[in-house]
Amino acid sequence: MDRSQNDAERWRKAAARGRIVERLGRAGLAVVLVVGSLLFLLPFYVMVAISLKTPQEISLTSPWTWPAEPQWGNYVYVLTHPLVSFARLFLNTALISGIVTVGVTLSSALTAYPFARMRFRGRDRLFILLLATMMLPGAVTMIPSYQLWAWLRWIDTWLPLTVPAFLGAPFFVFLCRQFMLGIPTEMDEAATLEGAGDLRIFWQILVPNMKPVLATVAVFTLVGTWKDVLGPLLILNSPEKQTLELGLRTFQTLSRVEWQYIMAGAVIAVLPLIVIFIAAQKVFIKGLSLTGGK
Amino acid sequence: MKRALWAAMGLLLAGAAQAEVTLRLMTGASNETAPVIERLIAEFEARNPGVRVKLERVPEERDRKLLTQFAAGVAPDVFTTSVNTWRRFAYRGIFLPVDELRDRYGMEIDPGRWYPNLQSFYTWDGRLWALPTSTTSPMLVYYNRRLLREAGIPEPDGSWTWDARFRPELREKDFMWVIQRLTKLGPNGRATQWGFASSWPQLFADSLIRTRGLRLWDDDERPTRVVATQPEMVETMQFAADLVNRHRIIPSFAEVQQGMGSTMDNEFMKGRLAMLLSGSWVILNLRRDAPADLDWDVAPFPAFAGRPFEALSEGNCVAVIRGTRHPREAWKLAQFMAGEELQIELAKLGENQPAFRDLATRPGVWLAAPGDEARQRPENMAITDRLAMSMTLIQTPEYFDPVRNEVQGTFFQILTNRNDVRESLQRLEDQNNRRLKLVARREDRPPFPWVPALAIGTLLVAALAAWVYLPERQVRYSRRDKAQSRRAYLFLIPWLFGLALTLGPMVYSLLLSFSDSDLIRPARWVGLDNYADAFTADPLFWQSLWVTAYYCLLSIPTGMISALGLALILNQPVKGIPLYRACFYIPSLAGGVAMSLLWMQVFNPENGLVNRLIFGAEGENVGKGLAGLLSRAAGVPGETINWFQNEITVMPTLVFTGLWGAGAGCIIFLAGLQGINPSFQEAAKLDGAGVWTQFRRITLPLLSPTVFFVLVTSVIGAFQVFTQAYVITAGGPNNQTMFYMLNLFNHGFRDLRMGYASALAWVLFVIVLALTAAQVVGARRWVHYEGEVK
Repeated sequence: MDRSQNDAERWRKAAARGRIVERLGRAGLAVVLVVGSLLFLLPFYVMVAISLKTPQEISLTSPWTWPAEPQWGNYVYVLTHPLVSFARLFLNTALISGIVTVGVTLSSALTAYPFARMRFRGRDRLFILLLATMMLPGAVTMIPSYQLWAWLRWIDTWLPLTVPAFLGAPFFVFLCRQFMLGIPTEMDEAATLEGAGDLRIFWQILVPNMKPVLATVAVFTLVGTWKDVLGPLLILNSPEKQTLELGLRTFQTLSRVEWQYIMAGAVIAVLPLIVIFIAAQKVFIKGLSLTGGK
Repeated sequence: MKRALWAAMGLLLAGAAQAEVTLRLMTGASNETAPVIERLIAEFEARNPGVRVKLERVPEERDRKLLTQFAAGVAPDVFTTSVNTWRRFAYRGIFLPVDELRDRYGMEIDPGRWYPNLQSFYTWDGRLWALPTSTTSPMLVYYNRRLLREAGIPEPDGSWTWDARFRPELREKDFMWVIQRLTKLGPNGRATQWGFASSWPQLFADSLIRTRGLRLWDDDERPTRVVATQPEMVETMQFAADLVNRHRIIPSFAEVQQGMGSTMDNEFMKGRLAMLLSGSWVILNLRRDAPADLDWDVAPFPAFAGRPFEALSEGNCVAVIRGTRHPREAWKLAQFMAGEELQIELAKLGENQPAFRDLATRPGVWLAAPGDEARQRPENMAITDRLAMSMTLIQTPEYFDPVRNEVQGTFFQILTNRNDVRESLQRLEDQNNRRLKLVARREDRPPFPWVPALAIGTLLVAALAAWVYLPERQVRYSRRDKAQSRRAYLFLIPWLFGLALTLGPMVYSLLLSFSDSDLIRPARWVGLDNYADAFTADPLFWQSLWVTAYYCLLSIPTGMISALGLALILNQPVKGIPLYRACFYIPSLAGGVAMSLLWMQVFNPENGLVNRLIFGAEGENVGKGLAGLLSRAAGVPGETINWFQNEITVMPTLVFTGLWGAGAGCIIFLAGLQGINPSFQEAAKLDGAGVWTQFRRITLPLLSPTVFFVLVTSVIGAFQVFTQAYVITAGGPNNQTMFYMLNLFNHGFRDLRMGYASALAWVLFVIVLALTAAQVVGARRWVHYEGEVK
């Protein structure tokens, strides 16, 4: 009797302590999240602040200050610039990035599937080859590749930027393979017994379980393509075919040291990405609930 | 692909049917000049029916783009470049010589109108290669008249001279004395007003050396030796460095540039800088941005006492590209670009001093400072005219360009980083005398044997295929396995195409690594020399390898731990987590210019956030407690730390700033974490496992495939790191951030030695391959796969 009472007392105390610890943990977590977010947002804040200043303010005040009177006109100036059409560039970039994102995500997952789930001749050594292709710096293969595109008469078209996306990106094949290897095989075995083919297993079992990683591949590809300068710079000559980031660079050289315009352009170029990223979060969450509910 | 080909052919045919010539003009521009150029190009099209001009404004890397396009046979027809860079194209036969075009189609431009020295500036091998469009010396001294008046200094009348010491007895005739008088120090010993600065640091050194008539090599025509340590040279550079670091009358580049992207030009406009050394293009900026009450004027840079005056040269030119299909029209366009109308318009803007001397001295056309005709002094025109007449261009052979780049680098180090002058010059001499062997083109070598090389390349690919496939032939497969193997290859078809597209250029670069090649002129066979040079002659090879390894050791653990930590936090079920995730990822998105500026501001040695926190607002904590400890650790006891320019602190600082990109790695870990079935953790929790045990025993093993992925790709990525060094530190200070890829890039694209750069790339490839193989072997011990197929 005595003993059980003691036990109950101890349990209650422990539980109370646990709750306090948990609450403290939550509070601490919230503080870390808020402070960290603010810290990580600083560069963006500086960008926005400068984009809303007058040239005099930029040269006289500290970059950390908020403009006395936000100059929204800077954005109007950038968006209506006679030489750089941001609307057109935005459309181009959205199209190219969209195609590339679909291509890379699809082809990388498809390529990863046999590496993770099937047994075939030369698998392990082909995989080493796949890794090896990531190790030679792009700078040295850039010119030979360019010569190939020129030979195909693909220069100044979107083809060199988009077609390779459908041929599997080693980095993401590797990522998808690692992820697939973490998914237990019981379900595909069950499906095989029911007579499901490879494509069905891939599509109905692996893809739903891979949502988080597919979303990651998509976001990375989208951001990488969106912000890529070197590829479009070398490939695209016609102003009407160019991308946002390239137009932004042109805009920067045109504007030389007019920081307010350069930063306004940078904010305009990055804003869609931020919106897309927040939207993509929903996929993350969905992926979470799907894996959680199985 | 076929359809694309047909479409291209169709377009070509359609173009031919209209008998219209489209010329591609590759050029740069600014907000002010672009509309003018566009208007005049429209004018040109109107005057030449049937000719259309496609204007390609290339924001950056214009030289590289032209070289790449030329190598691939898709270059534009007309190209604009500058007096200091045209030779690298002419040497390689990329331009059509002007003489040839003149003989074929005649010439509208009268060379007699050019400044007389321009003819020789654009001549090489006895022929003229480009048409000058403007000419200007960067040795204009802009001065603030009010500040001069306040200091009691009369306006310069052209009798300034300088000497490698102060000459107070000459008073206002001695330039250095004037600078000293114009500097005002605040109570803490920091300058509140600077006497003098140049737009970029090397310009000051170059101006001193040019006016003193010094050379850093033995012979212009055929330099064989770098001679950087002759007494006059050391004396001059020591004096320049003392003006910056000891007398503190010239601001260090680091002090100004690391403030909010403020340039010396801005400081001049703010009235904090009394005199600015720069080129005529500043006039345009001053007219546009300077406050109305800034009363400024120009004077030429002083001559060295007792020496005739010689000035540095800048200026632009236009050339016709060899291989153009419309040489007649292209020549017409080039002449238009170099013609009177464009020169007048650009001169009126204040952008370019005309190349035609009669225009440069015609009132109403070239307003050489201060802007409006009412304030124009007659002397102004004479000043810019005299400068243009005194310009000289020291032309050295192409193989010497890398050495001249190194000279500029050394000047930068001396003037911004307080490097010891004699030591720096000695090192410049030693390293580059070794390097000269590396840079000289091996004309005596046999041509590259392309046919056998390509055969070997094909054999290599075949051997690779055999290496993949042959060992597996021995393995017995059941019929079901065989079917599976075939199906697997169906999935791999797209990637195998991609592999072919990658392997081709890879093999090509391997072949190239045994050659001396710039991809434009015929390659030469050099055997293993490129590899031997890397290990023995390249002064930066071992340095860059060490720097990169050091970076890996610092950045990979910190980066991975912070990304994983962040992911664990962001994986918690807290309200508003998607928003937090976005916040942490935004720096990876914003990137670029904003980030670099921000970091330069944060780590600014004078008033940056970090130094204010550590050393106090006025530097009062120097030497105390943590501040003292850090200063001593950074090798500058008793001083504040210039984080990005200090040899010891630069790498940790770079790694630290890299942590702001942790958001990207964090996303991969997040995906991994979300792939883990929560029931495992719940089960562990029910068994009474603490947070740490859960993480250590459940989460980490289940996450190990992701950790392995991040580790392998981090190593590959760290060895190829390039952007940070390229943008923020340019390899400095003292090559402490000379990353392997930066060295490779400099050799390959700056110096156009693609053969050697390919050899460097393959050395890197082997190193990374070995490291990855080691990780793959090691992974068997710690990576746990749920769904492995053996």
